[in-house]
Amino acid sequence: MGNALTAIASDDQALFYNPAALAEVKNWSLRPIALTLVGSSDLLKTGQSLSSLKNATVNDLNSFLNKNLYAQAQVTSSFVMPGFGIALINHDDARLHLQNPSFPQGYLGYQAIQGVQVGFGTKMLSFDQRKGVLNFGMAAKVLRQKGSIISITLTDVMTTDPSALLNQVNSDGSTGYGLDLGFQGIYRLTKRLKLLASLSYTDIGNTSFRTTAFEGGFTGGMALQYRSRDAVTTLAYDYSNILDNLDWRKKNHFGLRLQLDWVSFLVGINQIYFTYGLAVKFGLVQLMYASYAEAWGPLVHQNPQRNQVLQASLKIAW
Amino acid sequence: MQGEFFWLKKSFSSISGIVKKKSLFFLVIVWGCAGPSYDQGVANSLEIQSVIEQVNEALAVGDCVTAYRAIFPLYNSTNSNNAIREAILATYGCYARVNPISLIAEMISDSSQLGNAGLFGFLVKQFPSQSYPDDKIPQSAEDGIDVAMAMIQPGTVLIPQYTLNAGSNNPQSLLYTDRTSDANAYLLFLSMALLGSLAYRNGSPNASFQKTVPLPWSNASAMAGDGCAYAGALLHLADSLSFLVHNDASSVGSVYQSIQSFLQGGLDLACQAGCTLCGVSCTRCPVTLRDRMSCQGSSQDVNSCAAAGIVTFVNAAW
Repeated sequence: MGNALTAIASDDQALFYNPAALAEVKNWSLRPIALTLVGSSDLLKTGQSLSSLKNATVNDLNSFLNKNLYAQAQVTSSFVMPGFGIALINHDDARLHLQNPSFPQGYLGYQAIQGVQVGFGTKMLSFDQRKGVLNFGMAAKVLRQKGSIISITLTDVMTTDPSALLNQVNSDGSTGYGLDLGFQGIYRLTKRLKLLASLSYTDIGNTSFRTTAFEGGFTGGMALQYRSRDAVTTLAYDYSNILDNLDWRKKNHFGLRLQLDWVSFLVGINQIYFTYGLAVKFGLVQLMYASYAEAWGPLVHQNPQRNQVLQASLKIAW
Repeated sequence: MQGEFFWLKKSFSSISGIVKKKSLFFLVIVWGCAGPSYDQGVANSLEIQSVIEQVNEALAVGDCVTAYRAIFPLYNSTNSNNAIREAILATYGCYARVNPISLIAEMISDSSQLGNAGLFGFLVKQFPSQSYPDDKIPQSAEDGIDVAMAMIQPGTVLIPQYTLNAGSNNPQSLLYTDRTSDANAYLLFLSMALLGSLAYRNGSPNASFQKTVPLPWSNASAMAGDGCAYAGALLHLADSLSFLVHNDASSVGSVYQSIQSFLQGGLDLACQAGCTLCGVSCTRCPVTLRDRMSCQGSSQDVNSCAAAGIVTFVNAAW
């Protein structure tokens, strides 16, 4: 979906993207487990793993140059009911990026995050003979973060063994507290077609830990959703990080989703990069694969990195 | 499509922040330069970050020319700062064929011969150079050393007598303790490149990398130009090693230590001997000899005499 989700987030997704959408939840649902695995294309192509760094010598660092090695594993459990949601989060990721053979520098990191996020959403008002509604929501989170992402300077490369750098990554845990706010407007243009708009501000004032922080993000979104007898088609657009001094092209997210009974097709543009995915349902089990890319450089065409995502979850709704 | 893309978004936002803050890397020589001009104004931070990223991307594939064209206009403007200097430093390193990780590995491999006269053969082996057509390794290394001298730690008070180009966009300090860690670390490679390439061109080394003719700058009157740069580079090498020895915690530390011990014992005595031969007075190598333009090529000039002493020392040892 190109990460365009603030206007159309639903169920437990609403908890993370826009808590106002919790007001639109109709059913109770429990997702006891959702496992998500993410790997960068470089990692998957080369088969290199960050653990091989443990015995690396200085010379071995050459083989890591100009590669984006990233891996993530996450397990969440969530419960959602009309107007309310709660999720338990267990997230781990590790990364290594060294660039420039003439002047090697980069970063190395590992972090583990555990915590809980709770949100509620409520209808604020309805208008135009109930064709339109405005929802408001709020979510709070308490997260425990361990590990850190460290910059590797040239001096580090020259004066510190790789295994010692790994030790620097291990930092004591710290707790961060965060708050998200969101608004969602929905207007039914016809019986089958609705227009959605949203504003969400996540991690207001930054969710800060001892060695890192989740920076606050203010996002506006728009979407059109058409529900036919057999399918739901959604077209969505988000403009993220509105308040940040970034290349405006990096703020654009555009997605198209076709939801059929047991399968969903997703395509989108994240920044300027094509994204695609497929999700299927087998009874209570949902499987999803997606591929997306984003720029890590200051401008949208600089240092693009592509990642592959696999997700499996179990969902019980009633 | 249910999913916890929220977490993906978070983790990538945080790493993007690091990339923004720690983006890095990069070269002079007066080849044609067709980049933008910054004479008329101040570049904003996004422009600077994107140019530095452009340099990184070019250097990642060994494209020194693109990197140079991108960064030189910024370096040669009021926008210049240490991040920009670091970028052009790496670019000069690219032109000088510096590959720090490989060079460190070679140093470890040849460590037994580096704490003695074998050092000079090692440098020639690492940086073979030719003047027809000119591979420009010596010039790139000299220009890089000039840049490294301009990478001053923020908040440092400069002593006028040890400051070059005061009032310019890139004032330089002759004292390594005034400079940033990465500048001092990188000086190791640039000074090695200059020493190796000049010795290769002027010492006609044999297959064992031993000179077959003495270096031509063994008296003060022959000291202007390359001879002064050669002697100054040996002092920069010693400076860099002094910095590294005090900060090192790696397996390569003993190699730095052994080269430093060898040079520390020899250089001041060599300078003293050169001065004595001219009939001038110096008890140690002059700080100002680190400026490659400081030799006047006369026997009344302390820098020229000291430099001649250094070259005589190398001729005797190599």
